[in-house]
Amino acid sequence: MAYRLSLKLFWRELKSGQLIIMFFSLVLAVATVSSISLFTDRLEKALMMETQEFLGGDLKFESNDLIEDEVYEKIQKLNLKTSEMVQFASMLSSQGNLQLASIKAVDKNYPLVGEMELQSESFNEIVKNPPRKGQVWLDRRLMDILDLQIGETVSIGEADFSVSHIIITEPDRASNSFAFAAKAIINMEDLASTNVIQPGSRVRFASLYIGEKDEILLLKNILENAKQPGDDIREATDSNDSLGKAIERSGNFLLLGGLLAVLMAGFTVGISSQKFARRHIEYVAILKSLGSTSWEIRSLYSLIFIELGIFSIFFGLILGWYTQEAFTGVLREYFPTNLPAPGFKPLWISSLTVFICLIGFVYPNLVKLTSISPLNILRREDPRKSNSSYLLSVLALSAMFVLIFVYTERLMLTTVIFFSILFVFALGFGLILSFFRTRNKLGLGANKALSLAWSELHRRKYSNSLQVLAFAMAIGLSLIAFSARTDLMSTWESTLPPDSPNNFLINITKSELNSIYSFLEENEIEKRPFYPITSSIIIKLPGSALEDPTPIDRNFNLTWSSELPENNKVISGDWFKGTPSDGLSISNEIAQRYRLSIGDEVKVFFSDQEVNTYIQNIREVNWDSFSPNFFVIGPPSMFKDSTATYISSLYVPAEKKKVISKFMMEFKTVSVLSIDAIIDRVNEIIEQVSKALEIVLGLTVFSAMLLTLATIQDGFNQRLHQSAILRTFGASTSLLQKSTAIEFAFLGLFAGLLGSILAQIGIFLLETQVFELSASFHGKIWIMGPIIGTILICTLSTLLIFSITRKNPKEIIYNT
Amino acid sequence: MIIKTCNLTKRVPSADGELVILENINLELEEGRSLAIVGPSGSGKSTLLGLLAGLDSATSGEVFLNDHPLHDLNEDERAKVRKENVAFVFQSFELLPGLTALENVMLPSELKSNPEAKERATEYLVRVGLNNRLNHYPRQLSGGEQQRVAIARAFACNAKVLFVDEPTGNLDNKTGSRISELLFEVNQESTNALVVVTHDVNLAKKCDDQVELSEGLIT
Ligand SMILES: Nc1ncnc2c1ncn2[C@@H]1O[C@H](COP(=O)(O)OP(=O)(O)O)[C@@H](O)[C@H]1O
Ligand SMILES: [Mg+2]
Repeated sequence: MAYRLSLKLFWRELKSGQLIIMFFSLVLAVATVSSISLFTDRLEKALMMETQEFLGGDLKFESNDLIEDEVYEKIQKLNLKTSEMVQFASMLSSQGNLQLASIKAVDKNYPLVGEMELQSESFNEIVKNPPRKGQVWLDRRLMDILDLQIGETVSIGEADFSVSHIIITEPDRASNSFAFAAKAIINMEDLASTNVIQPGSRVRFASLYIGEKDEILLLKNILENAKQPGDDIREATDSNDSLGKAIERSGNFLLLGGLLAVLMAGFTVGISSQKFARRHIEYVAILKSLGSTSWEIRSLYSLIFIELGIFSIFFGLILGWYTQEAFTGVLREYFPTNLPAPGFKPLWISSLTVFICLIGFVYPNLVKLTSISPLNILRREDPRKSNSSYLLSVLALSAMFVLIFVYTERLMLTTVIFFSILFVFALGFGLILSFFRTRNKLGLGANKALSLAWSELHRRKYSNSLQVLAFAMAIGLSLIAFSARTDLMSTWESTLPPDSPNNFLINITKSELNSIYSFLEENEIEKRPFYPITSSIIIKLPGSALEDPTPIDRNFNLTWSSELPENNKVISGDWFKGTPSDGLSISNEIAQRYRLSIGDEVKVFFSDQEVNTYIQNIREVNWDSFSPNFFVIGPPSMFKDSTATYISSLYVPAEKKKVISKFMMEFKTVSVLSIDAIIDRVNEIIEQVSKALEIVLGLTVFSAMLLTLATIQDGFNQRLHQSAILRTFGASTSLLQKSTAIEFAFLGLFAGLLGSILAQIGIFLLETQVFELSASFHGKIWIMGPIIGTILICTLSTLLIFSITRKNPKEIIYNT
Repeated sequence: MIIKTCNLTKRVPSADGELVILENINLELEEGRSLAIVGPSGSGKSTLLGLLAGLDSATSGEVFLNDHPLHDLNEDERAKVRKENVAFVFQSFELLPGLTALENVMLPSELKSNPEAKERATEYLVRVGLNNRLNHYPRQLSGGEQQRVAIARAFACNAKVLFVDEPTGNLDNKTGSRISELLFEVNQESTNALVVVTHDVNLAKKCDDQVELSEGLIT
């Protein structure tokens, strides 16, 4: 019964326009939130797929030894698919040509994810299996250096192989040790016959795994426990690279934008439902006099709002889907794999949002509406004056807090945002109330527009402060969105300067350095620093006799330099002094992860040497920069006897692309890794995010307008009635127009100022918490806020006045 | 003639065609006289009163108030005419809830920029017997008291014609007759003519003229 009646009432109210503002603002909120989360969800998934392919599985374990039997058995019990491989460096020979190459022996499950793209004779083929026994796949460089053709024979150690294919792309490109060297792939079954692996030879054993999340987690635990120095565990989710970070930040940022729209929707439904409740007092009176209980009436109204919620979610999701399609259109071209289908997160986060809004902002008004006694109803008392007001405040504030938390997922940030909003509210209330503290003159001051406006401002100070705060929210949030679009995005974009290095040079030997220098000079390419690297293991020495020495469980590619590399900042300790007392410099990530601090004693193993030293300084490294970055740097004096290869980066402008090929011909053993594609992708994503942001900005401004409309509509009937009475006694429309315009101009100016304060706080939070930029003062906001406020509110008041004076006084007085 | 109408007609668009509310109303009222409009509910009494007072505009026909051709004036011009000529008392009082009794009564004088608004308002409130209610808000007053405030406000208008729409409809008999008395007092002291819509036979009888409306026509 209640269900049918509620549907009937819901339709009636929707058609008569009473629910329409609430409906639209909820639809907007859902559309904003769902489009953003659909977008980021699919983007993250696409990226996840890519990193999985890049790694070659969900998890990769690398070690200098075979996995111990005991651990191996434990892993066997898990429900995982595995592929094992052995990587080593060896000489390849063919008709007197010799070349050192990185060789990968793979088992029958290779490749575990993705596909190999190979070239045979004349055509390309895609395969999902390892090389046959007796065959080898080589990369093109190796073919060129050894002057080989497909079908010819090459020897590795004591075995001969027939070259069957050229490697074009392979899925597991990410590898620690030999990633960038010329590469050959053979079948594991041929490994023994080469006889190159001898005790003491440098070999990396790698295992790749794919499986369900839980299983991977179990596997990770097992491996973490068995981990030895030099072992390395990598997961596809570790996205410490620029792309991953760009996406994470844009996701955060967009969701914050969504939060703004949602908060405004919350306030809008709060205000509108209050008005709704007031209009329904008589209806409730009739129902009560017909014998309905409070409980029945409450469930009737709850049902109406649940229906409103479901409808808004439905239409919001449709709108959100299409908005999101607009975001991802361009991305599609960039991801080779199809964009994955979205998960359920967008659905539940939208639904959660709508229901938090309804419970926090609407339910208290329904409770008040239905708990009014029939006597109160007969006297047409305003439900706002019921003594359960605290319920509204408590629920609305909690809803606000919960909403912020749902979106930020960070308690600290939630608290900061929450109290910033409260602060601005308190400031707004305080300012308005103290501004109009003095007792008003007697009378309405209806003789002049200015005095009428002034006395109205005095009289309505409480409801005005609410209105001003709503305006301020709307203006402040729009300003944040605007400034994020213009200032923040451009600051962020400029963190990737146009002459960022786009090529890495890897595997350079000391003897090649001078000829590379002169090559670069001849071809007018700017020389950047060349860093020597050597593989090292670090052990933290005990601070006291009670502690055991703690090995740091990974290999470090360590460099040495007397200069602090660019994009690095020493955040504690001092940079090397060039004296024998210099220690090591580590990045703050390493310091945090392994609990290392300045002065800690460590032992470093590298190139058959070991040195006792200490942590001299801790650096902050900008990992976004496309330059070689290092976790650990040592002083040159410590490593003067170490063997090393060198690494550097180059910026090669597009018109000089040919130089790269020339370089590769001249320095055949140097690996050149072009990251143009990655840089393009990062730029593309940034651009895409700004487009998405523009749409979010549009939706936010729209929500702001709905909020403003709701607050104006709230006091509308009272104004309408008052104007009709004034007009009955001869007040001219121009008097009413002028005084309303003055009143609203003042409110707009005030709201604009408050909005500027809100925006400045908000932008500060965005800069410091989301974008990790330094905070700055935004003068433009302080000018734009009041101007936008005044103009916006004056426009709205003109519309308002128009609708007030359009009807004649008789109609207004007799029909409301 | 303080009021004169000629074929005054009011029609409104409705779902099933045009709805005729008033048709060809012709009436005249001389200065110093009072007119009662009676008739069943829905016969168009309030509509007629609104047209006579210039609160509404007719579909066709003419209406003169104190020789001002209301049918030829726009809303602002009519407002100006109302300021000098119209005092109105409504069935549901129509006081401004945010203003005290005193401030409500001050309104008409304020609109005329009369510097003695407060003194005059106090005087009229005393006149209707509310001397100890000056600073009360409408919600703190009973229906009869609120209507007396509305009457004091009508006094303050100092207008040519007092229009009254069922002034006692929301009140009990005793209060109602006190209100009726007051209305005639206002008319004698402050205005030149009275037009009253009423169901109250006694009140209607007190008036110099009576017209009866039925389905939009004078009978
Ligand atoms: N603006 C309007 N739109 C439609 N119908 C109206 C309007 N104003 C009045 N009416 C109708 O005209 C008729 C006369 O109304 P009214 O003058 O208020 O009657 P009375 O005051 O005699 O009870 C009623 O049936 C009413 O419903
Ligand atoms: Mg009537």
